[in-house]
Amino acid sequence: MKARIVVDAVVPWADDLFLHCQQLIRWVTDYVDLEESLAIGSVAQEELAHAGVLLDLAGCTPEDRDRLIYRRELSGWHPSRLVLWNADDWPATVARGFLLTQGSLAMVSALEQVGGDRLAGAATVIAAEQQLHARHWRRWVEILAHDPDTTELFAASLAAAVAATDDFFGLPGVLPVSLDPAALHRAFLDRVGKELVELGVDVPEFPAGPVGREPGGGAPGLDRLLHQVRRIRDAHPDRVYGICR
Amino acid sequence: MTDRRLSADREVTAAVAAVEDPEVPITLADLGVLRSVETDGDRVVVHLAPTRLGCPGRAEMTRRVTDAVQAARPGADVAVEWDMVAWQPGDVTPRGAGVLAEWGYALLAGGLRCPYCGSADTRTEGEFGGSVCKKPFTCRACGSTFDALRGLLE
Repeated sequence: MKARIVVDAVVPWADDLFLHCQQLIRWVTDYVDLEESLAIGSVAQEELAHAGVLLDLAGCTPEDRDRLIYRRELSGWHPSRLVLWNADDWPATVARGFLLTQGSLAMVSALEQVGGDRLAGAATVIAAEQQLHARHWRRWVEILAHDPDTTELFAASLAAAVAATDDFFGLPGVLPVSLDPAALHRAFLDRVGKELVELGVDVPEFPAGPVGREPGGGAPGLDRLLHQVRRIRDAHPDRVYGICR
Repeated sequence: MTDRRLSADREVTAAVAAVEDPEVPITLADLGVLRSVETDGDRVVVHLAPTRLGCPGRAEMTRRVTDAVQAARPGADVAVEWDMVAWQPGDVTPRGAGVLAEWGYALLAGGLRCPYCGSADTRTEGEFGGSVCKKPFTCRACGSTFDALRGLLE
């Protein structure tokens, strides 16, 4: 039973990390600041790695992992609204990255308590790496929130991103007590509130939560992202050297 | 265990200990990535610890370690396990630190020094370098830029 409930928790979270990586990679080439491109590339690379580690922990073989990414129907995905939120500009990307990372830190902190040396060990390592991402997003939150040119735009982006956090912990399936969605949601609110207060940023009103995640994310964003991920593979099957054809 | 078996196990361990990182010619043992080599008959289990989980060199390290074991013990059943532990700059041996310095890398640990001139008068240029395990610095004394390998629990 423990294995099943851990799978229920980590696969949707791994999906979020994978999708966040895909959301971020355009900034590797779109952003004008070389250092920021390096940073975003590293953050995206680590989101992908963390997704891979979580799927390993859920018992996925490399073949399973490939199948989940390239062949799973949209209805089999349960991404959060936040990761699919259409953050087209940099302030919105920062708001989404900041909130997703705080959500990941709340989740990983709870996973350390679930039990199992390997899971707890992975949670500790993921938490340490996510802390670096958190520092990165925090620095940008501070800059954008206090620069007179971006204060208003960032406040609007943060409020819109916060509104999309209602289902972040609405994980499908049966979860262990230490992964109680309501408790996770409260821990997340505490973390975000504390961070924003420390940064001198007004804390937006958070939605009540958590509500359950919808299959397919309930938005066209997933279709668009997966099309991006799958199109080269689908268009050129003769050039696919992967393990799941 | 017979002397012959002990000697064979030592050959496997030595072969794995000689495997180098794909980017810098430092052994995985000196880099602190190699954690243990367990042999049980023809079964060989090698435990490695990644500098960071997103290290793109992990697949190549796995391949090199597997090849090294197979070369030392043809037909061995090899498993390379990536341990979920926090790698730290302090895991690098003194010899490894010397190799890294020769290649222009420092270690983000107490007493950070420029690998080119040895000065401790350095400044960071950001959190992210050319790859996930590196943090960029500039030396105020000689003007060189260099990367320091970062640990997980800074």
